[in-house]
Amino acid sequence: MATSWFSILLTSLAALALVLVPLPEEMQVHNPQWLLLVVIFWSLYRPAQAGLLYAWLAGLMLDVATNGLLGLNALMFTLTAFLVLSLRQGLGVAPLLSQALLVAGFTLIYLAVSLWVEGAATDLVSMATYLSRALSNLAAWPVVFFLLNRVARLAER
Amino acid sequence: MALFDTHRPGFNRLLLLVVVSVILMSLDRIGTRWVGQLDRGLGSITDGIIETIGQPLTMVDSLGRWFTDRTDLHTELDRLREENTLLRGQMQQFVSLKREVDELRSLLDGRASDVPAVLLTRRIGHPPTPSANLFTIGRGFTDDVRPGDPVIDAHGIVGQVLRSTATGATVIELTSRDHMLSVVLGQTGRTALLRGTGTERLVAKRVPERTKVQAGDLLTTSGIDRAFPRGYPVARVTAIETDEAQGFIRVIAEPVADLARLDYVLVVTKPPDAPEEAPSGETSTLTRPALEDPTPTTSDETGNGN
Repeated sequence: MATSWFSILLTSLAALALVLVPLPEEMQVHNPQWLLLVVIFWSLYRPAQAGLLYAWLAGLMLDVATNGLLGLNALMFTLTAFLVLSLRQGLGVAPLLSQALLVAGFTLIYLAVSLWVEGAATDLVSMATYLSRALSNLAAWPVVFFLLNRVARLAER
Repeated sequence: MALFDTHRPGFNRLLLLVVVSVILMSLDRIGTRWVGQLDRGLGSITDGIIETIGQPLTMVDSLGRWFTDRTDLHTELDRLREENTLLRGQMQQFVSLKREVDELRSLLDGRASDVPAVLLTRRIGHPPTPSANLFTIGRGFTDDVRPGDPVIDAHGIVGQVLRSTATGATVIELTSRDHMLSVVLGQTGRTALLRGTGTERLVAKRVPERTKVQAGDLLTTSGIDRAFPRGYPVARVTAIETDEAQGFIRVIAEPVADLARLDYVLVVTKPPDAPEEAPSGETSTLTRPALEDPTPTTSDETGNGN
C-alpha cells in the first residue's frame, strides 16, 4: 500500500517534469499530456489509491506550473478521472488499441471543454456573481422543498 | 477482491470537487490574496522542477566549453575586453552627466535620481502553454524579485515578473496579448499605450493623427504606469497605419529586446521611481508648499482676491 502511494507520487512528478521540459515551440504542441495519461493509468489500475482527489491535485499542480487559470485543469482532470473510473470495468480489460482510442477520445472532450470553460471565464465579468446564484439556489432548495412538499400533500388530501 | 470492486466514484465527491474548482477559478479570476499565496506556494515546487530539468542542459552547455577551441576563446576574450573598455569609457561620461543631472534635480525638487538595482539571472525554461509569451527565470522572491518588477535585457524592455516563488519566477513578455505598457512616442513627448498582440508586433492604438512619429522612431517607457521606470527603450516603430476611428493613427512597432534568443536577463528589483516611493514623493511635493511657506501663498491669495 505504502509503496503504491510512493510510486504514484513519483510517476506523477516525473510526468509533470516531462510536461515542463522546455521544447521548441513547434514541438511543444506535439508533446503528449503525460500527466493526464499517468492519471488515467492509475485510476484504471489502482483506483483504491488514486481517486478523484488525486486527479484534482494533479490537475492543480499542472495549473500552477503552466500559470493558467487556477482550477481549470484540476476540474478537467477530475472529470476525466470520473469518466475513467465509471468506465473502468470495461476499459480495464479492453485491448490496448481500443484503450488508446478511448484515451484519445477523452483528450478531445478534455480540450473541447477546457476551451469552452476558458472562454466562459474570460468573457464573464465575474464568475462570482453566477456562483453566488448557485449558492443561493443551494440555500433556497430546502425552503422550496418544504413548501412544495406541503402543497403536494395538501393537494393529495 | 480489489479486482472485482467497482470503485465507482461517488457523485457527491465529484460535485464537491467541481464546485471547489469553479470557486477556485473565479477567485483566481478576481485575484484573491490567498489564491495568490496558494499559487506561489505550489509554484515553488513546479519552478523547482523546471530548474532541476534545466540543470542537465546547463551541464551540457558547460561540458561543451571544454571542447571550445582555444583561439576562439581568445578572440572572444579580446572582443569582450574591447567592449568592456568602450563601455567603461562611455560610463565615465555617464557618471559626470549623472552628477550634473542630480545637481539640477536637487535644485528643482530636492530629489536625486537613483541608479536602479538590477539582478542578473538566467532564463531556465518556459511553461508548456501554446502562446509562448511566458518564461521562467532562476531567481525568486528570496532574491527580492517581486511580481511587477521590470525585466530587461541588453537592448531594452523584455517584460514583467508575473509570479515569484521560492525557487524561481515567471516573466510575461511584452509581446503577450495580456501585456500593456505606457510609452513615449519618439521625440514627440506624447504618450500612448503599447499593447502586445501575441506576435512580434506591438500596437499603439488611437494615437492623434498630428503626432509626428515615423518608422524607425524609438519608443521608450514613460514611467506613467508606475510599472516601468522612465526612459528605457521598448520598441522601434515599423509602420504607421490609419486607425478605424478618423483622426487617429495606429503605430506598429517591434521590440528592441532580443526576445527570440533570450538567455540572460536583468530584473530591475528596485526601480528608481518605484510605486512605493512615487506616491510619497507626490504627496510631499503637493503638501510641502502649503506647509512650509504658508505666509507667501496666503499673501498671494489675498493679493489675487483683492
